Amino acid sequence: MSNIKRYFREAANGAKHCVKTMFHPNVGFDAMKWEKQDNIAFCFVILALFFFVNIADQVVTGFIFNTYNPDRISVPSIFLISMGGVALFFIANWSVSSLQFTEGKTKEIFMVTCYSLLPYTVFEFIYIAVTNFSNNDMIAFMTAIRIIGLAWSFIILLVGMLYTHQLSFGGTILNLILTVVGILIILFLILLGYTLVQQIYVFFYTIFNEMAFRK
Amino acid sequence: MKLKKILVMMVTMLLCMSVSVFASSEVPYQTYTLDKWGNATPSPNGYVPQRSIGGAQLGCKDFSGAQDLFYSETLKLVLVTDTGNSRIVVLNDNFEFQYELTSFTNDKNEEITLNKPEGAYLLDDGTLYICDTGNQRIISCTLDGKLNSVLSTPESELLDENFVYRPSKLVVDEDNRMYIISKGTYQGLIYLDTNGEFIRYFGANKVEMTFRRRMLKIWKSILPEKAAASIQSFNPIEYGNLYMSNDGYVFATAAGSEDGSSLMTKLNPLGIDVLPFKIKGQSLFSDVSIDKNGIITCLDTTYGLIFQYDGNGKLMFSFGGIGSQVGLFQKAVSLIEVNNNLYVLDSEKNTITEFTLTQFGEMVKDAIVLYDEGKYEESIKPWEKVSSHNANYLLSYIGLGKAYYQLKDYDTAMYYFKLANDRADYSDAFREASLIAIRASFTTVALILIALAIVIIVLSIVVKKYNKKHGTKGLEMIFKKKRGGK
Repeated sequence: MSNIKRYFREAANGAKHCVKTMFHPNVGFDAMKWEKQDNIAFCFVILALFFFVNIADQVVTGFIFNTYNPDRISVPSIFLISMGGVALFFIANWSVSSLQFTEGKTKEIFMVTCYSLLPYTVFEFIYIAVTNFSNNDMIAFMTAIRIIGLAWSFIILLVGMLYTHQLSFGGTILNLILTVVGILIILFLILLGYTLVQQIYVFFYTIFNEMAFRK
Repeated sequence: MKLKKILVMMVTMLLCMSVSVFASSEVPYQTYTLDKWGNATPSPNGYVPQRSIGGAQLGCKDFSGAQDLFYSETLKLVLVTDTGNSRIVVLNDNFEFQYELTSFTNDKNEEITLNKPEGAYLLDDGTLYICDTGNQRIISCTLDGKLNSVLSTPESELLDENFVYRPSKLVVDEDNRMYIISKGTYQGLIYLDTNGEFIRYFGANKVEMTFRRRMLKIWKSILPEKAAASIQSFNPIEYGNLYMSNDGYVFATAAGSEDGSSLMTKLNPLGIDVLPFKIKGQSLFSDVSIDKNGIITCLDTTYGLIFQYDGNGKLMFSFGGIGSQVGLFQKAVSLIEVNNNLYVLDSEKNTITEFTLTQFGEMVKDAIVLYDEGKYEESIKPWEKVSSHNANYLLSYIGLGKAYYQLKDYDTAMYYFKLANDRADYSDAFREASLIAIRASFTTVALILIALAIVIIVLSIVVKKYNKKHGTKGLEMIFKKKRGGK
């Protein structure tokens, strides 16, 4: 019980820091790096919100703006895509920064990744709410909402990575580009591994069949 | 007990089977429409095959590789271009044999015979144009076989040096100008004036730039000249068949397509495609026909299917298939619509198949005619009838939605647009509905806001006076400052 209480207290503190970081990323990330403001309890709340907004996007967006077929919505696959995407970015950035010999710690990279999801998530919630009360005339306004969210997220990510890795601006950009390359390499490896496992499975399956049919 | 159960089950199964046998013995195919997500869903039949007409039924020689059907509405005559037998068979609109044309005599009493003709066109004044493909010429004559003129290969500087004239299909407009498809010519239709003089190419098609072709283009620019020359050149799509609508538009189908992005075009008098929608698919259309209500019927030769669209490009029915039963085709080449029936010519079966409208098809057509004329209110009843027969029929919901929109019943309109997944129209109905809601509640909301403003102003005056009297600041009279706090 006390554990849960402690978690909530930590999350509340993290939320305070996070909100401050949204409006003053320099101050917030500086505190994260040098003043031990690095509790990650709130990060999991952001991840949960991000997951929910991805579901809400397909389920409760207003009819005019919702192009998803309700018969085809699958929550597990949304979970896999949203959380898997975050995990991929986190792992790729961690790997790249260890190659670049930066000062970023695992915890800090995770924090920056999660923090940068918050503006997108919040603006997407606003977007979803507004879609239920608007028609096609407001499409430019809706697009603007989403673009603002994305841009804000990207700025937070950029500043966060700048402070985490203590690289120059160009170095951070390079770090992000390499991260994208890293994601592609990881995806390729996953595909390769999947094919391999499948072939091994087929191999053993054939052997089993041979044995089974041979009396 | 167990035995009884099994018996009941067996009887039920037998009943089910007999039902399915009945259903399938009637028509050899399943009619489809598209549901709101664009998937094919079974639909009641709009057309059923009635009979198959061959040479024997007509009382003449059997067809041999016949290529074209033509129907003249004013003269009530059907022309069958029987390519293999080098003749034009003339039928009346009940498909009874009248006579056939094989040769003509000119002024000098010389006989001119046809050689593998592939297309014919009949003007309302009785002038007959025949694409005499084998002889590379166009013959203009009267219906009783009197020759008007013979138009051989047109001459012009605009035509290529190694241009080969192989006219296969043609249409003629009101001013007797001809639009001709010459096989192997991809620059467009050949546009001839009344005397057979070449005017220009008409309605040149676009080159489809698919991903593969873009890559090939890059290779072409990199490779040395000799190697680059061996890469195929990209030509515009060649036309396959023509149809002239009553209002003077030339409908043309594509004879071959790389990505199936545009299987049919509607050319205006300038030769520009003005079809308001795109018909896509990995397939080829061999013919097209437009009825007086703007309903477009296309004949798919690859899959032997007939597609019927309304004037806005919404699929009404698709039916047919490859096979040998009546109603299925081997190589469907031409299609006409006579008195609401469809007639499809098959050049391998050498028969004409007659399709008649079913009750359901008539219902749909009635509703669509009213709907396309803009008589939305009158179309409510027919559309409701259609949707009671087929709850998956998307067009009925769009029609009902538009009807209720016209009647200013926006909530009902929104309900039907939602069923039809028609987002643009739903948005319009939603806008109107919300405008009405805003107008209705405006006075109440405005009054509440004014009252609130007055209350706030009065309260602020009261607070100010209190503060002056007691020397406090802001709202300290309510929220007292904590003493001894942090």
